[in-house]
Amino acid sequence: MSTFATLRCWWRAIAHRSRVSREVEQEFRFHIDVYANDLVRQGMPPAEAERKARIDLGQPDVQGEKYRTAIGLRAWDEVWADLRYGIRGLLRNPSFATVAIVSLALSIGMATAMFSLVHAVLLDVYPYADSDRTVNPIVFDPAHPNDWDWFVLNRAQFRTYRSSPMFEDVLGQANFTVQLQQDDGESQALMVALTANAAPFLKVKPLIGRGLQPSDGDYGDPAPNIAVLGYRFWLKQFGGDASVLGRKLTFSTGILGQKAQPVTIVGVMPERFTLGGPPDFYIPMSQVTFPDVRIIPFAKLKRGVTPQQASTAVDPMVHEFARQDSRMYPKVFETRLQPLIKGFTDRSKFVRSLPILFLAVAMLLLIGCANCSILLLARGTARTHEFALRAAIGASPFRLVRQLLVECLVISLLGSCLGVILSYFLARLPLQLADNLFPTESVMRVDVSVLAFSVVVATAAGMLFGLWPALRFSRPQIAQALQKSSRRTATRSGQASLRRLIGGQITLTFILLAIAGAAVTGFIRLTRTPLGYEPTNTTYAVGISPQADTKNWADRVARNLHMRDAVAAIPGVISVSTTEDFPPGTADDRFPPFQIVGDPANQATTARQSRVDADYFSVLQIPLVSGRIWTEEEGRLGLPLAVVNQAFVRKYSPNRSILGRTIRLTEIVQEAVTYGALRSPAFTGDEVQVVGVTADVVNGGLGRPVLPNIYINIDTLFLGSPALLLRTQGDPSQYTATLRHTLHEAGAKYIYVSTYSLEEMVKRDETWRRERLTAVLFGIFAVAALALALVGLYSVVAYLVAQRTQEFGIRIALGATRGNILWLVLRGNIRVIISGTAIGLILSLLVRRESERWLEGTPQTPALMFGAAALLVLVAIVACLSPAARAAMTQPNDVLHAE
Amino acid sequence: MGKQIELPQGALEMLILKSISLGSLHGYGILLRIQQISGERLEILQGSFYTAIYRLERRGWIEGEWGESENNRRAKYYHLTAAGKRQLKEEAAKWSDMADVIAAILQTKPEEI
Repeated sequence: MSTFATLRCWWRAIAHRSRVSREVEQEFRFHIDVYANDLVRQGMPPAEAERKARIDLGQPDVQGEKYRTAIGLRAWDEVWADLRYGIRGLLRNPSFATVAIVSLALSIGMATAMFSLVHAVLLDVYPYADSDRTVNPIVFDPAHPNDWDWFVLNRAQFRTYRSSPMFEDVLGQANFTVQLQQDDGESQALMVALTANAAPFLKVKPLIGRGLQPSDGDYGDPAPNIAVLGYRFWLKQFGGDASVLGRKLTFSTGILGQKAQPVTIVGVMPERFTLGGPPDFYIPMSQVTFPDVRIIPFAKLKRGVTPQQASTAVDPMVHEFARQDSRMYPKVFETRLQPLIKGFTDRSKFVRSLPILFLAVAMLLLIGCANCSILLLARGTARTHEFALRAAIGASPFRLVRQLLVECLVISLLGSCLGVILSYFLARLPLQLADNLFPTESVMRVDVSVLAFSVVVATAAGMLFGLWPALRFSRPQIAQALQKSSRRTATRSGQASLRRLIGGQITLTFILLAIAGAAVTGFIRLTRTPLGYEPTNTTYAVGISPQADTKNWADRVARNLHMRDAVAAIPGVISVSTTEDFPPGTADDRFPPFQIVGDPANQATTARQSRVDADYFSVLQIPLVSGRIWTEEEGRLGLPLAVVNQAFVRKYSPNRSILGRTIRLTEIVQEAVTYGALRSPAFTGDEVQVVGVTADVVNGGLGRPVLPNIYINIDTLFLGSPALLLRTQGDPSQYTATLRHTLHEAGAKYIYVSTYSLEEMVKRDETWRRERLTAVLFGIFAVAALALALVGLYSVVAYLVAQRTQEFGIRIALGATRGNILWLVLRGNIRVIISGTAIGLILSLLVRRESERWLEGTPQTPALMFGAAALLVLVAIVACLSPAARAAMTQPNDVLHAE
Repeated sequence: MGKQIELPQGALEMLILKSISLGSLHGYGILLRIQQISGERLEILQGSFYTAIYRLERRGWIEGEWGESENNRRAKYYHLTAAGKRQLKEEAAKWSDMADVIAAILQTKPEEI
């Protein structure tokens, strides 16, 4: 009650300041007049009565202030005055204010961007309910626990899995690529079917319309023939039009059994809902009538059940699944249930480099705050006279500190606000540069907690760095400062602390420069690494015929040829290859064993084993080094022939020609037989003969060493579905529609045409993207750090020079040359620059190995570091030159007259 | 004027509350009323008087309203709010309790101890 009255009173006094003080004055005047009247009535002469009244009561014009003191607004008024004074001071010296604010804004912007990024891609990435206890099952070979894999279930297995008592609920997801029929032809779309419990399981509200709901049904239930669109598809295909609800989608696929019915669009999911993709649209499982569907399970653990307990509980079940169909499981394996985010963090090298990114951002923040501190110190030094004067007329140290802190607060707050705005743009950069490095649910968004955290941290950091100079200046040596004219030599101790700050900044800047240099050279090296093949104008497509047609090997060969010939006949298609493998490959580290017949048996001989046709090498323009490639005729007969790459020769047959030798491929042949592969009549054993050696091609992912590779004639055995690799005239994307049409005509029921050419796939390679992102991020950090440090250095030198103008004038008058003055100014700064750089260099060299480990693909060579050091020293000296030159140009007459 | 009494802490506030509990008054009126009731035995420092008024107003115990004075000038008249009435009651009870206790102690004769 009383608090409320107080607040109302304060509010009135602040918001209606002039009215309130007018009223107070009026009331007081009335009081004086009535009092004086009374005195007159008691017999005092009017003039004397007036005088006595004023003496007894006081001046009416200060009554307003007394009123504010009485109601407790004095501190407020003082801080407000400090604030206005501070802002006026900053406006009077706009370059100082700008530099300080921009310094803080830059560093805070980067730090906030980093927080936002980590928040969006790691801490709060999934919009799904209880995503922290939602787990995916994976299997791994206990000998290689980090080399795990997901697996999928068939309907019966899914029902079994779902019944485990460890789970509160299990959601099933099945992915399909479909051909979408539209007015302007067909296009490929990713469709995801979800079990009926999707809505209660995920609890994500649709953006418009409705989401999938339990009544939409599971397998076997009546199909409602509806679809819910994914956000990105909605934007791309319908331009974000809300009237899309009620429209129909028509698509065809061999997977959904009979010809699919058109489906009605009933809703659109929000941007972050990208389960299974991001897919183009979702359908209920009841619309999937295809019996052999592969289901990815998402299980929600019961509360209190740990992933370990649940893993142990489901392990026997998964081993039973493996007995039914062992294709997806390693020979020996264990099951582990892992939280959704682990699927990202375990495989992301970017996540591994996050600590060093944070460190960089912290260093940048330090540099920015140090800049602020430097500027405040330098400005404070220039204001010594003012502080002494204020202290002399009664300002307490507390009031001086408060004045300085209020100014600092203004700078920090403005800096952090600008920084937050800047971070909004910066934080988007990583997702734009490398969307495939992050979970698809990552959407950069303004998060209040992140913003609040950053502003508080930034303001606190700014204040902390401002407190130190403030404390320094709060007890001025009044007599000394007032006796001196305002322009004299700066105090030794002030200079020393400035220099320490500058030196520290230069050290940090150097460390960032060195890392950035390494990241940039690493990326450049990666882009210049020869691929060994020619990816331009090359793409791939997959066309699968119904299984019934390909029960026999000869039919399968004929069908593949038919498909290939149809594609080769497309005008503009230069060459086509039927293959199960193409570069740049991925970073695997386990390959099937083989045995060169005649060499001593050795378990450790493993190599990539790819099945390709004879045209593979001409399509990709991979040169033959020796021997020959099997002919088309030999290929079609399914003769057991192979070629190997040079890496294979170097590792396994360095001293003896590999040509004509026989390689035994026991494991993959056994595997193929187990899965019912179709074998050529000519390939009865498990041995292939090497007929040639080809040049090395990047095959284990970009930036990684070329792995030994055996290329086996694809027609020896068929297991999966081969792709058609083709080289076209001009951009392959213009052939997409034709390719799909041709494959359809050739009898393919399931058709996939790659969205990306092989050239684009190189640029979408995870290593390529990551190294580019690291190079860009550290590049930005280093440039920002360099700019901040140079601005700091420049301001300090300029301030110190301004302080010492008089001294320089006297020196010149006494006969010092311009060169002497220049050297006088530069000398101390050069010492600071060089020692700062040297410390940075030593630190960088010491942690070089560590930092290479954190940031893969960034070679931190000493040559690079010395280069960075030379650059830093050079630009830093240049930054000092201009104020030093101004000092050297001092006209003794002007200075001495000014005195 | 007779013997003057200096007011203890908080007493001025209570006297102000009491003086306007009988009807609204302007600042000078309050001052006169207090002096009149006390039989001119209280000297109130005019300077601290308004500080007390302002504080009471801030706490929401009294409220000012502009009105016409006897000599047709605008003056601010104060009256008690509901919270002020409650406060006056509490304060008055406290003061008389204290006065009783102190008086009782002071009137104690040596042989009673």
